[in-house]
Amino acid sequence: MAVLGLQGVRGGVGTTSITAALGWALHVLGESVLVIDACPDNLLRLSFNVDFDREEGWARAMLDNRDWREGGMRYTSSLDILPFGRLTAAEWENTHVLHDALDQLIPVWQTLQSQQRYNWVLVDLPHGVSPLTRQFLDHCDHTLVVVKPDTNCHVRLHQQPLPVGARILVNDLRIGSQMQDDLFQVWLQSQRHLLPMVIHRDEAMVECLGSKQPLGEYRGDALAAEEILTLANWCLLHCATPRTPEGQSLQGQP
Amino acid sequence: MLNDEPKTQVDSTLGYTFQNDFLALSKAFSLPEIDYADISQREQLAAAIKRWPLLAELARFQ
Repeated sequence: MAVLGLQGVRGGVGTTSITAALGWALHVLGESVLVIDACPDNLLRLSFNVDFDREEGWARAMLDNRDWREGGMRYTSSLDILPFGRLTAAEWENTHVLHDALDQLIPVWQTLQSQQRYNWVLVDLPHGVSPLTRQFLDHCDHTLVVVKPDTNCHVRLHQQPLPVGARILVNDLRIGSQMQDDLFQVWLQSQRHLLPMVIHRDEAMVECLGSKQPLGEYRGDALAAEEILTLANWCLLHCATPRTPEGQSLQGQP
Repeated sequence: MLNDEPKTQVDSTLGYTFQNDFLALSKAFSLPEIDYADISQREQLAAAIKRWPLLAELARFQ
């Protein structure tokens, strides 16, 4: 089981949509995937056709002293999702109550590791350095940081610490934008941890959330969907946990 | 110098907590590695940096 965290360098760079799309792409490549929403915004579920008014999720369950697994949902036979769950207005105002529940996350990881049900666990991380983010990062084997080629992200890359060892993924690259082209060229030459593929601006990426589907399911032939598939293959090459011929993960076996 | 030290008692546990937080943070996060070496020798990059003052300013930091 490989745990891959995805974090935006800030909000609004498309991290949640990319997490959903990557989960779908890995599933298309025959992998078993669990996608976890670690963001209190609780938006990832909407990419997997979950009803807006459904409250369940791992954090909701923990706050209510119920089993976190009750929040999980099956999207396909090899793609499961674990939404964050809905917070009340009072909980939003006092997010420290969440931090008290963080200790309960340890058994979640222990269960996932011991069961070895999934080849991949993708975690949609909130941006920033909150205790919640750090708790999840501790369990991530690899981290991708999503950036948009704009000056805001460029400045952040110069002043904002990123998770140690993180790779940088460029999303929403437009053709014919002087500013973006210049920034992208500068990044290509100066950022040592830039991933070798980029996700171009694609209307399908915008439309798929409106359609409540991950990108590749909504429109598999879209440019961005093919680029996400390339990213999924890169992940298989560079991040997958070695497996035995039977397809079982080596990790966690006696 | 010793004479310059504050006379009021400082809560040592506060400092300890802060240091622990800082250590935990620096273990989990670090600034990205940025390498601007040879940037001036590449025509396209030089043009980009000439065009945008913000890029020129940031390229001076490594």
